[in-house]
Amino acid sequence: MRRGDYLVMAIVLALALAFGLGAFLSIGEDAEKTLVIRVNGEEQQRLLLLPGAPMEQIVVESQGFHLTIELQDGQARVAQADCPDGVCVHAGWISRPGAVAVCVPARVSIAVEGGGPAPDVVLQ
Amino acid sequence: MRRGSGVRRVALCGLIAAVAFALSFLESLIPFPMPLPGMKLGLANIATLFAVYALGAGEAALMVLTRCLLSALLFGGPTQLAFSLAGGMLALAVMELLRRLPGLSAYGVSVAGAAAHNIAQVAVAAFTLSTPAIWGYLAWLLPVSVVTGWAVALVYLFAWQRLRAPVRRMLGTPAD
Repeated sequence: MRRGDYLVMAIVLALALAFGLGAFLSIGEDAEKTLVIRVNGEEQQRLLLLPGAPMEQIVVESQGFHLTIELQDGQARVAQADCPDGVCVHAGWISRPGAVAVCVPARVSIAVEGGGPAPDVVLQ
Repeated sequence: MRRGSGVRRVALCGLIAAVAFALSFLESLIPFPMPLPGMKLGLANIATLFAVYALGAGEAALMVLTRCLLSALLFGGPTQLAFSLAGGMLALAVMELLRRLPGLSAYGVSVAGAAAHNIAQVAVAAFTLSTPAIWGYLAWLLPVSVVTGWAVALVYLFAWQRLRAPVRRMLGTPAD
């Protein structure tokens, strides 16, 4: 181990601290969760996911497929889709920041963003 | 410096690529909690490090590509391919850049490579999920990479100590 090695390690640890600080400081900035609907990777709509909100339905058409997206009470799901695999519908309700439901054939994705601190992994 | 007969270089490439592939499989067996499925610890960098010192960055890049493709095709998926390719390539670039610096030994080079590996993986995750929040994972992944980088260098040095002479003879060149 030479002197430079310690420097490298120190730099990496300093970076770790920097990222930690960044994560810590950005908590609470987005207190509200939003559902972002993307078609072909491009953002189409942003809707607020508010707890206690009444049912809202959005219909998205892409690549010849029709998807019905529902938002209700702080969560969202792909309620109906006529794509061949139905993985998107099978994903069910999503509400956690970072959660996504994707329809690959239709190239549509819905993602929950913002919302401040939330558990990252839930082990079952 | 590309001395040494072509066929022997290719043979050595193949050997190292096979080892890298095996390491890649081995690390998928270790139950380490990574933020997303498909992310890896970076043990295959042992082989990348070896390739960089024994052959050079160009062949090393080809080997990273080979082992990522094989590994993802056989027991991974497109997400794993994205993670391992990004991680492997950035690690290679960083290690190649750093290895000639006089103040550094293989330990520093390897830790830098491991850090780059994890940064690249998290970057891919942040890009695919479009959640900037995922960058926070680096707060604990980077210290982990100090440990894994150090371990990778240890194994590499152990191997290099024993294999340097046969490799030189095989390639007919004074490797460094």
